[in-house]
Amino acid sequence: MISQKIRKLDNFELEENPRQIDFREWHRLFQKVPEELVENTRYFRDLPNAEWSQYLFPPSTHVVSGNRLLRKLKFDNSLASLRLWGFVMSEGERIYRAKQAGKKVIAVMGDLGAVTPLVYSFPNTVAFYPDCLWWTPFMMESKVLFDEAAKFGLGEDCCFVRAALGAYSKKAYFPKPDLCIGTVGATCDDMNAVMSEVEFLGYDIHYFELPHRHDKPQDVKRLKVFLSGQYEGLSAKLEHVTGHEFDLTRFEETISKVNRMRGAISDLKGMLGGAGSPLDSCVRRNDGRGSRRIDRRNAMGGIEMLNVEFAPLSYYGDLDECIDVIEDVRDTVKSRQTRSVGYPDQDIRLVWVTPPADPQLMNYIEGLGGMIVGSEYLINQTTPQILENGDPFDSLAESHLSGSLMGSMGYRTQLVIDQIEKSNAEGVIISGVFGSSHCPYETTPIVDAVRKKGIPVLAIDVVAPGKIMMQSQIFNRMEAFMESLKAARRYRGG
Amino acid sequence: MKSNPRQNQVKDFTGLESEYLESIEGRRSLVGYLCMRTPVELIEAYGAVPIRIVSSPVAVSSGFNPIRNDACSFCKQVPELMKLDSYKYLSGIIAGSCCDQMRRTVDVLNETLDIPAIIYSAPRTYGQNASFFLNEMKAAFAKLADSLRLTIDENELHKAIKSRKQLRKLVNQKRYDGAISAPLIHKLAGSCLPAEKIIEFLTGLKPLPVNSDSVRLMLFGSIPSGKEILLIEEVGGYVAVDLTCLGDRVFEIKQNLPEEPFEFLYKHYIEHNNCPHRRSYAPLIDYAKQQIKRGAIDGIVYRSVKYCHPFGLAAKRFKEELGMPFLELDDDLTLQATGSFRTRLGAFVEMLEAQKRRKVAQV
Repeated sequence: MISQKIRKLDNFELEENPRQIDFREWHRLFQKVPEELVENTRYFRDLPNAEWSQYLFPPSTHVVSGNRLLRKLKFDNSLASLRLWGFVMSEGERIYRAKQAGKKVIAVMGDLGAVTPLVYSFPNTVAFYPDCLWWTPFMMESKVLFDEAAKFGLGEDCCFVRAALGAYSKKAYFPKPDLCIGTVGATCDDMNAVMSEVEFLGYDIHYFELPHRHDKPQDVKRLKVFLSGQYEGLSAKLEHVTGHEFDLTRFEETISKVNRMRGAISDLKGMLGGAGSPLDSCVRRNDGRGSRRIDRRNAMGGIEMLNVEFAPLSYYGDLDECIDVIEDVRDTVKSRQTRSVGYPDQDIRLVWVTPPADPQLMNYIEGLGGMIVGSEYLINQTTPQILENGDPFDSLAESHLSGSLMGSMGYRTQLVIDQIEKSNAEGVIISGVFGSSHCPYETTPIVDAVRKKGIPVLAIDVVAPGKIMMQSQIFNRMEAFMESLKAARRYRGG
Repeated sequence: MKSNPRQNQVKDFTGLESEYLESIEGRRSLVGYLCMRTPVELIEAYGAVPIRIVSSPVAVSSGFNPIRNDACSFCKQVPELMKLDSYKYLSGIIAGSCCDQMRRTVDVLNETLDIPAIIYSAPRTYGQNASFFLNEMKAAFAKLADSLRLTIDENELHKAIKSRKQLRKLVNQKRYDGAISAPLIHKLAGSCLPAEKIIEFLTGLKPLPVNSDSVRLMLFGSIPSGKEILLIEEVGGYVAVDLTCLGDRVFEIKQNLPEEPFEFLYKHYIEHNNCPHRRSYAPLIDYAKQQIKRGAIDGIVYRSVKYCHPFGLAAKRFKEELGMPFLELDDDLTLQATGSFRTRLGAFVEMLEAQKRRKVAQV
């Protein structure tokens, strides 16, 4: 029986003060992790005698399996972060293991986290997102997947999600899915093109149709009815594939867990983005013991938070374990904020818009003194609490309707503005993808709206791996941007 | 100077359109529409004149454009087009959602123009819940009509549907007879004229002279700019089939459609719309194969607009599936592209001519 103390890391820290460390330091620090903790940090705890399911390893372990970019990244030095990285990096292995263990493996594409709660409502079923393989070429510092996609005609005119097609074709990045679900309609064209080619590779896709949202209150009802029907159709398909009938009790249990995870992520974002003052990295908080200063220095790295925010897409293949991993990160941040500790010299408050396929960019901005206090990563559909006691399909539909991309550009712009206001940000970074179907349209309205609020914006396009010259230009622009934000702070501070 | 009957067709038809627009000036609303998923009969039934928004070499980027350079060159051109005389008198714009970029283009128009620009959901997959999407279409038209204070005339709707059916039949017949040139078909596809007037114009057309030695080409791909057909003909090719968004595809006769007017329009324009943004490609590939056979095609000129994802990213797939000599052109809708197109088209046509000669020699 695994004790709760081990399931939860219970704020066990290897170093007293938070800082960002490289993979070599993690390798050394890892020696201090108690053996018992390593042995009992496992996924698929429902499976008996799964000795192979340990995942608490230092990043250097994953460098060996090809994730070369890890050598260049800076990681948070908490055990919770180590656990998070281990959990995220073992997802590929986990879905292969799931297949070996007789679980149904479902590939979900195009919706970014909306249909996953339904998938996990079926027993012995795990989901994964081929779309998320877009960061694999960056992590591996290799163009193999892009080159493979190019053989099918998906070249540089297509977003980095084309890596998913390369992976389908290579047949070496995930096991053959028992079902592929593809959301089409008011989604990106790039992933649509990927899905078409995946069909030609011989995979059968269950399409989920997502209509355009007009962002008018009177449209919600009919969209909800339509989407509810889509969920019902998907449920029938999942019943067929898994051999299990849809079970309302199990569904409600799953939704309760999903909500718990979404709640933990929301708490985390709230803690990191809490209304601090740009002029003073400290705020005052009244906790019943009188007003006291709370240090608003960065309490968690941007990449770790990116991993956290992307957890509700697939739960990284294990919902129960994922909840614990996220809650560990949340507890670590809470503990750090209570102790008023954070990374030194990172206090320029930034909102990041659109997830960067290249995680190095976040490290770089942090190295220049930035802290990411808010984000809009195109996954707003994974943020609402899902109704637990309503009609199951209606509840999922309602949650889905908050999607970042299915409506107008004005809607997404407002999501960004909300993040700025919530977090009192001093600057915004938009990391777009050249040639994607939405970035060319959204960037200007977002930039305009943010500038109207008096907030400086840096809009960049993430550069494909290997284009060092172009990347150095991005770094250069980031440096100039951060300089200007620092100057603005000095100016405002008199 | 010797008169060119193909050019004369287009000239005469354009004159007819101008006359018509002058005759209705100030009396009827002009409603712009994008892509092939908008039922023009419905615009007509509301008493408005349908104006297809098409690419124009005249629209040159001038000043601020909210759409970035890596967007589809046509979508990026649309806000610029709105400044041209042909479109500046539009009262409203309507479109059925197709690809993501077109959906966002309408959003941009809605933000930047002071006329209503309305998009309605249309399914990407085949065989979807028709009643939902049909209601989306109806609601969008009702909203536009409300903004423009228009009311639908059911009799006009029946009449428009009937006339358009006749028009499709006639266009197919005349195309088969060789009486309608490819440049004219582009004009017909985007015409603002009522079907009756087009029928009247077409009825008198006689088959055009065709050089039987010319290589027979199928033009395929994104919305054309007009220059590609002229270039193909200039280098000695003949566009026997045009599967672009302004070509023969617009006049495709679809079978087994319902009689009820709205259901008919939904099925014709939305459900049975063959565009590569739909999932899957299979119906479009089948249709293209039929047209290749019907048109005795020697080669395919596949022109995609730069950053048009549905056509651009499907080019290689179509090449493979159609299994014919295939020239792929990527057009950013600038005049600078013309020279290189001419050279590449010339080489392609020469290659096909040589192939044809070899075949004859072997026989």
